[in-house]
Amino acid sequence: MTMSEDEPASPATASPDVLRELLLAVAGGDAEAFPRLYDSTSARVFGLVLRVLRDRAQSEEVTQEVYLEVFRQASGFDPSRGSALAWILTMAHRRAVDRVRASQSQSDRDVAYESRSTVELFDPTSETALDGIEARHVRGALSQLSDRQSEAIRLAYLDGLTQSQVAKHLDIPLGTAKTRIRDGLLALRRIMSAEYTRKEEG
Amino acid sequence: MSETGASLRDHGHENLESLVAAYALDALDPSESAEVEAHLATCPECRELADSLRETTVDLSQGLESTPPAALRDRILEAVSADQDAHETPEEPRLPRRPRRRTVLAGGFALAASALVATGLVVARPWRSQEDKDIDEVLAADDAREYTTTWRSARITAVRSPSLGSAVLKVEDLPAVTAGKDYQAWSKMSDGPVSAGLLRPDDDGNARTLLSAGSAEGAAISLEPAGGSEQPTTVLVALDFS
Repeated sequence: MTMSEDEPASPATASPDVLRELLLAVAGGDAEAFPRLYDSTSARVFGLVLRVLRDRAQSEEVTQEVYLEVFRQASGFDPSRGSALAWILTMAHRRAVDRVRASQSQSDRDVAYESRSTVELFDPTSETALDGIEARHVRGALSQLSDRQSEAIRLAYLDGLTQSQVAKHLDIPLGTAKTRIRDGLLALRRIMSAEYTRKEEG
Repeated sequence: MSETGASLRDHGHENLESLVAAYALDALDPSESAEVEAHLATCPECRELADSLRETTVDLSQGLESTPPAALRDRILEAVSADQDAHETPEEPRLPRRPRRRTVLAGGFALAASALVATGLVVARPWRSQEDKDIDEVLAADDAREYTTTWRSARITAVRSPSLGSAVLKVEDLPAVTAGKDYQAWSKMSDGPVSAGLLRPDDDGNARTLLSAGSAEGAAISLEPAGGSEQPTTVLVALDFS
């Protein structure tokens, strides 16, 4: 471990431009770029994975898989399609969700795939050690949505449920769950792009 | 304009567009997700929507930051540097001028053989090494040409040698399949897909199989009920040899 870097750049200070350049440098084979990219993004990646999996050991494994994938696939990053952070977190989220669903199917080997949508490993609304983080988090992006939309999106994205599982969990029709998820995310996109525009102008 | 044609097309597009948000949240099951991905490949409008919604998901994990242990950083940097040594120049032009040394994917031959067994062809054990030799021969052929794509975390490569009349399908980092499902490989022939057996990735998500179809126009991987199907059910990813 490098002592000179014991204060890694926090994601708040690593601008999208810096991350993009780092990821492009990794794609270009720059050996020094990868540790810097890791230091600037790992708290975001690990935080997201940990929230989805709620298991430190598994989250460490998945985080390692994610960064190996980031390294291997870096040349597939297309800056015209989105930010480096979105690209990395997309990989992280998919892997975390794949892991959640694989362990669901393992712990439930005998239940047919189609009928396992009721399986849940935890109650996302229960009190957990993550409550502090959760409370802080909820004040962020999701707090700007209606409670129903925010709940549906949290179950899908942060608990890794499919939209059918969200419907089952909330005991609402599938169509309603789909609508809340879609409208919620579209609303969030509007809110966020308005914020970015405001920042750019200000 | 043709009312029926337009409304049918729009209906399909709208249906899929309505799934894009759930797709961006990874909240679809694998078959729906594959449908959306197939649509995104041909619909720039939906692809743009998907990209912008992915961007929005970044905000959903803001505030959840958690610094991973320093030991993990060491492990990851070590793994990456080992990986770098193993794949010297992965971004070189794909046209091989000389046979390239390739990392043999551990367990690949066993997987290819089990794929044949699973599709009903009884394969004696010694055949395994023969299949593995055939695969290596294709990979090292002077006229071997690579076609690469990705699906989710996986990198999918088809290597085809016109002179050998044979092709190999390799996958790396394929996500573990859910219970009751299997991945199946296909050769795309002019008159339709021909099964190349099940793809059973190892713990690292790696597998390779012989497509052995000289006249194939492409390759595909589909998601099937366990044991595979006669015809592909849900094509996850397809490659064209052109």
